[in-house]
Amino acid sequence: MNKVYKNSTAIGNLGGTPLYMADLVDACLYGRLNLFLQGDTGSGKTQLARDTMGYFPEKSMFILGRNDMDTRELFQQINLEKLRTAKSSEELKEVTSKIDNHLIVVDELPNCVPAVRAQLFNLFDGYIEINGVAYPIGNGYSLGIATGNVGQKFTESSNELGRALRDRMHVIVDVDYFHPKPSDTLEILAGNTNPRVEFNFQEQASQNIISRHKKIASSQIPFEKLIIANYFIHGLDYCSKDSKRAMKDAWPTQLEDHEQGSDVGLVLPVSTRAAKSIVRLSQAFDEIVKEKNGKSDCFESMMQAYKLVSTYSGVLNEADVQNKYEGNHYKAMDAVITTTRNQFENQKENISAGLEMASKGKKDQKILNQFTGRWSFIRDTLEYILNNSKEKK
Amino acid sequence: MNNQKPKITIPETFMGVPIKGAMERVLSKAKNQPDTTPIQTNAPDIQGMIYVPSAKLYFAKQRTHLNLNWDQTHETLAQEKLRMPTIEEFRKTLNYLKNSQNQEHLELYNEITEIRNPWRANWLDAYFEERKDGFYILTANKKKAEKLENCLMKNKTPGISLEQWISSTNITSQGLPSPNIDDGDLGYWYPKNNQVAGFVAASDRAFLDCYRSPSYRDSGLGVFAVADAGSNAR
Repeated sequence: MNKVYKNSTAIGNLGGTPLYMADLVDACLYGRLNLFLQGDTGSGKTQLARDTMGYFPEKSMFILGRNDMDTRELFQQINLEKLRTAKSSEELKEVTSKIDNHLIVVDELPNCVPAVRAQLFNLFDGYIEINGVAYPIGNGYSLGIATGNVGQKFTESSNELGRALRDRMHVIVDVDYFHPKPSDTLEILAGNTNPRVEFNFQEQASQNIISRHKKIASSQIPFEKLIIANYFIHGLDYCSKDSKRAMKDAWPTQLEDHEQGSDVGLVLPVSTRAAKSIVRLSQAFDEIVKEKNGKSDCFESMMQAYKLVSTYSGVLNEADVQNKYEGNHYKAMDAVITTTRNQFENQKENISAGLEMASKGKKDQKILNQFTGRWSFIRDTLEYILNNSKEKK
Repeated sequence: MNNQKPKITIPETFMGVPIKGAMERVLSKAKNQPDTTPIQTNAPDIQGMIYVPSAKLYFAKQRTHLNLNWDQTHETLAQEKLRMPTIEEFRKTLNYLKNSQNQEHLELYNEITEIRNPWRANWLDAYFEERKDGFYILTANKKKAEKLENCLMKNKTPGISLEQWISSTNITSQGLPSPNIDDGDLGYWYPKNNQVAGFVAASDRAFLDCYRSPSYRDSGLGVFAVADAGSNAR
């Protein structure tokens, strides 16, 4: 597809294959993950969203966020044939073919009042409610891309918009951190000096995207990814107070001093829902790397996905980000990933031994004893596999 | 509803490490190599202890049994005919050490309470449990249960008065600060359900912590073992 948005700044690298902002958007399409593009005015986020609509020329919808909107109006029309028989005005209305749209782009979403935002988020969840009936959107495949500029602290828990974004957007990325290179802007300027956002409907690629989505959705998740995802949920929850999650607002102030200087005080565990998004995005990244004839690595692809799903999901200790990482959330997340990498390097032999034990179907306490502290969750995982194999026998 | 359990296939490698033979490798490594974790399970002998008359017990001169969780510490101490001090015993001991003329005692007091690096923490024998009829404090490795007396039930940072706590002013008979204890520098985390007690000193503060996870372990976390007067501890 001939895209207007150009950005050759890599957002990551998998086994020598660089990944760009456009790849992230493609990965979200493959994974059917809602994407929020945060960025300063003129950063190209709207153009990127418009380019994406080009994949679905007849099956995408562009909505400019405004306060007086009723999203139901977008999906309803008057059926004139019912004019004589209808008993009420409601009976005159019917759902339009827009219900088949696969992609909904909402520009400047933060400009809407919360009530409108809630309606838009419902669309992103894949349905529209009309007169008490929930109509699924997109015949089983739909997702949303939203854009907006809400400043650096847009995912703070005190912020209503932050909470809503975290709840409904699977991937939140700050495009300002991945600014196009001078060569990109030169290319953009030399090609066209139209300062307006351009629509760029190209050949229909929607079937290709949907089939790739189905392939990813139905493929078996590599075991390594399941362990990594469980580490994000349980391993990162471990602390001297048992559970960071249970500490609620006492985290991180009531942690031990030495914990406050480590990832224990820097990052919270992810939710199960976020872990699903991480796995799905990682699977999509693997598919994209394969398309580029590269070779992906399970662990690194999970780390890239974790970074892009979690950085703005509210898991980072804001005070630490500001004081120790110059306010750069991605830098703080890189530090968490470095620790995670070291943790797995130190444990991979033990995990392998645990898996061998599970495959033999016999519990070995000495092996289980290798998993303490943040790795305690592996014991439970191994015992689950052991019990499962016994049940099957 | 689909109640089928998902199919989990164990891979042949994990992060490049072959699964086959991994058990043998891990177990032989553990067997052949000296354990580098700083676990000390040799209890001090009775000569390595200080008699604290007010508490009628012997108190170890050294923090031992490092890197064990609360339950493991209890188990190991019991095997050595020793035990973990309660909050009240620990408090009485601190009072005794602080007011002693003996240099060794004063050094031990500083070792436990001084605000400095490295981080040092000690398990205390108190498990807190919320029951239908109220909050309980369990001691003697959870064998003895008493209703928690009216103590300070909110966190205090920077804290409560260490002076008052040590000198038995405004405290409960269970060794916890009363709600009217003066403010001071000793941090205090109030008792929480299913948590245990500990005393911690680090670079920025010391604190009495009744909100510690019993499953936690750390190389700086251990216990000052105690033996009852007249016991046959080594």
